[in-house]
Amino acid sequence: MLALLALCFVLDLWGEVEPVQPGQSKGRQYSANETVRDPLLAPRLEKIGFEYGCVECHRNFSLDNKRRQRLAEHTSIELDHGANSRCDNCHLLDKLDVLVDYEGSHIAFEESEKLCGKCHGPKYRDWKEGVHGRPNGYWLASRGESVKATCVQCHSPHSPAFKPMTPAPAPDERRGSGGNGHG
Amino acid sequence: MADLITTRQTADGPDMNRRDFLKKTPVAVAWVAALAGALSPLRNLGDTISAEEFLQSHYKELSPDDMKRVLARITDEVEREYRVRPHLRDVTPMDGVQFAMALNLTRCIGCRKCVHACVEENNQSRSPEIQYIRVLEMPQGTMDMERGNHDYDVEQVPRDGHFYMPVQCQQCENPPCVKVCPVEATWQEPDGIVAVDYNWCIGCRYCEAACPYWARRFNFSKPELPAEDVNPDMAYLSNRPRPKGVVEKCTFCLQRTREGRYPACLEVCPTGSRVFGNVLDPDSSISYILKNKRVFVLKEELGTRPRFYYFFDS
Ligand code: HEC
Ligand code: HEC
Ligand code: HEC
Ligand code: HEC
Repeated sequence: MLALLALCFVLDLWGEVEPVQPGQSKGRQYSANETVRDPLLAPRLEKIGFEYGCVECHRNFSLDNKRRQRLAEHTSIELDHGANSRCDNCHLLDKLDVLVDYEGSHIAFEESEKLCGKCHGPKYRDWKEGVHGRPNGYWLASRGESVKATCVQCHSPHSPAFKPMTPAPAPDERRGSGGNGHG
Repeated sequence: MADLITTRQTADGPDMNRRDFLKKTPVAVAWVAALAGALSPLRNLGDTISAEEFLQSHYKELSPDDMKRVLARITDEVEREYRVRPHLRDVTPMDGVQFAMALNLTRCIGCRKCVHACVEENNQSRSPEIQYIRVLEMPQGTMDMERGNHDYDVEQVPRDGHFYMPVQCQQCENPPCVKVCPVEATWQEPDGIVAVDYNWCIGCRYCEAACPYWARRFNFSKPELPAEDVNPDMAYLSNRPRPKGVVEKCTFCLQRTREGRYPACLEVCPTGSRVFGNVLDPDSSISYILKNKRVFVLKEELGTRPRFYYFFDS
C-alpha cells in the first residue's frame, strides 16, 4: 500500500493544478518617480530644432502686455490663473530671461518657487516644511538629501490647477489580488 | 515545530484493525488515493524547502552568525531562481525612530501609481496579483471605508462627487493581527513596523481575518515574479521573494525607510499626498502634520491605534 501511495505521490496524480498563467513582465514603469510636468528651468525655448534664449527674440521688439491672445508666438499659452491674469505679473517684459520679484529685483527661472511664494505664502511655507508637494530621496538628513519637487513640476504656471489623470490599471480580479475580501 | 510533527504522525497512523483493513482492497485503494490527495501539497514543499530552512529558528532567536548563514542561503536561492544577485540584508530598526505616515485626502486623485510602485519595489507576485495598497473610490460625504470601491475602471480621475482613499497596513500600535498569530510569526518592531517572518509563518491566515483594514495578503500559489522585474534591493523582513503559503503585507518599505529613504508609494505620488517620517523628531514633516492638521484614523472605535493618519487639507 505504501508503494501505491509512493507511486501516486511520484506521479503527482492528485497534485495541484497550477491555477494561474505565468505572469508576464510589465516592466518597472512605476518605479520612475517623474513628476507630471517637466518645466522650463532656463529661459530658453526650442523652435524648429534651434534653441533660442527669450531675449534673443525679444530684444527685437517691445511688448505692451495689452494682447489677450497670442497670435504670432506662444500660441498654446492661455492664462487660467484666477485673478492673476497678466503676463507681467510674473515675467519682466523688458528682461524676459528672469521672473519678477519685488521692486526691480529678479528671480531666476530655476528658482520659480520663490515667485509662487510671493502670492501663495501659506502654501510656500507648507512646501518648505515638506508637507505640500513631494520630497524624494532621504527623510533622514544624515543619510542623504531630500529633494523637493518644485511648484512648476506639478502646476503649470499659466494654468495651475492640477490636471486629471488616467489611472493605472485596477486590480485584476481574475488574478485574485483584490476583490474577495470585504469592501 | 517538533510538537506539530509528532501530532501529525499519530493522527495519520491508526494501527488497529490493520489486517482487516488490508483485506478490503478497494477500500485500501480509495484510502491511498485520499491520503495521496491530502498530502500532495507536501510535494511542493519538498521542492522548495531545504532541511536547513526547515530547521531555521525564529527571526528573534537567530544569532548574528545564524543570520549571516540564512542571508547567504537566501541570496543563493534568489540568484538561482531569478538570475540576479540580490543585495539582501537584515535591516534593523534605528534608535529613537518611530515611523508614521499621513495621507492628504484632499489631494489624492486615485491614480493608483502608489499601488504599482509598491508592487515593483516589494517584489510582490505579479500572478496571482498581490497588492498591498487598495485605493478606495469613496462617495463624497462618508468616511465609511466599507462603502469604497477599489476596482473603479474609468478614463480619468478624479471623478466628480468622489474622493480617493488609499488603504494599506496601518501599522497599528495595538495590532489585532499580531495577537491572533498562533506561532508569533508576526510582531511589532520597536520602530512601529509590524513585521512577518516568512520562514516562520504557517499560513493559517488568522491574521488576515483579524485585520479590520484588509491589509494582509496570502500567497495561495507560488508567487510569480518575472526575473527581469526583480528589485534586488532586499531585506529579510520585507521584500525578499516569498514562498507559497505565507502571509505578507506593507512594511513601510523597511528596506528603504530604515536606511533613511522614503517609502516607494510616497516617492511616486504625483500629487504629493503622502507624508512620512519619524514622529519622535519634533522637526519632522510628519510631526508638523500631527501638530497642525486635523488628522483622523480609520475605524478608531476598534482601538487599534493606527500609525497611519488621514487628513483633509488642500
Ligand atoms: C522665436 C522668438 C521668441 C522666443 C524665443 C520667445 N518669444 Fe516671447 N514672444 C515672441 C513674440 C513674437 C511675441 C508676441 C506674440 C503675440 O503677441 O502674438 C512674444 C510674446 C511674449 C510675451 C507676451 C508679452 C505681452 O506683453 O503680451 C511673453 C510674456 C513672452 N513672449 C515671454 C517669453 C519667454 C519667457 C521666452 C523664453 C522662455 C520667450 N518669450 C521666448 C517671440 C519669442
Ligand atoms: C504665475 C506667473 C506667470 C504668469 C502670469 C505668466 N507666466 Fe509665463 N512662465 C512662468 C514661469 C514660472 C515659467 C517657467 C516655468 C515653466 O515653464 O514651467 C514661465 C514660462 C513661460 C514661457 C516659456 C515656456 C513655455 O511654456 O513656452 C513662455 C513663453 C511664457 N511663460 C509666456 C507667458 C505669457 C505669454 C504669459 C501671459 C499670457 C505668461 N507667460 C504669464 C510664470 C508665469
Ligand atoms: C501675482 C500673484 C500670483 C503669483 C506670482 C502666483 N499665483 Fe497662483 N494664484 C494667484 C491667484 C490670484 C489665484 C486665484 C485664487 C483664487 O481664485 O482663489 C491663484 C491660484 C493658484 C492655484 C489654484 C488654481 C485652481 O484653479 O485651483 C494654484 C495651484 C496656483 N495658483 C499655483 C501657482 C504657482 C505654482 C505659482 C508659481 C509658478 C503661482 N501660483 C504664482 C496668484 C498668484
Ligand atoms: C507634487 C506635486 C505638487 C507640488 C510640488 C506642489 N503642488 Fe500645489 N498642489 C498639488 C495638488 C495635487 C493640489 C490639489 C489639487 C488642486 O487644487 O489643484 C495642489 C494645490 C495647490 C494650490 C491650491 C490650493 C487650494 O486651495 O485649492 C495652490 C495655491 C498650490 N498648490 C500652490 C503650490 C505652490 C506655491 C507650490 C510650490 C511652493 C506647490 N503648490 C507645489 C500638487 C503640488
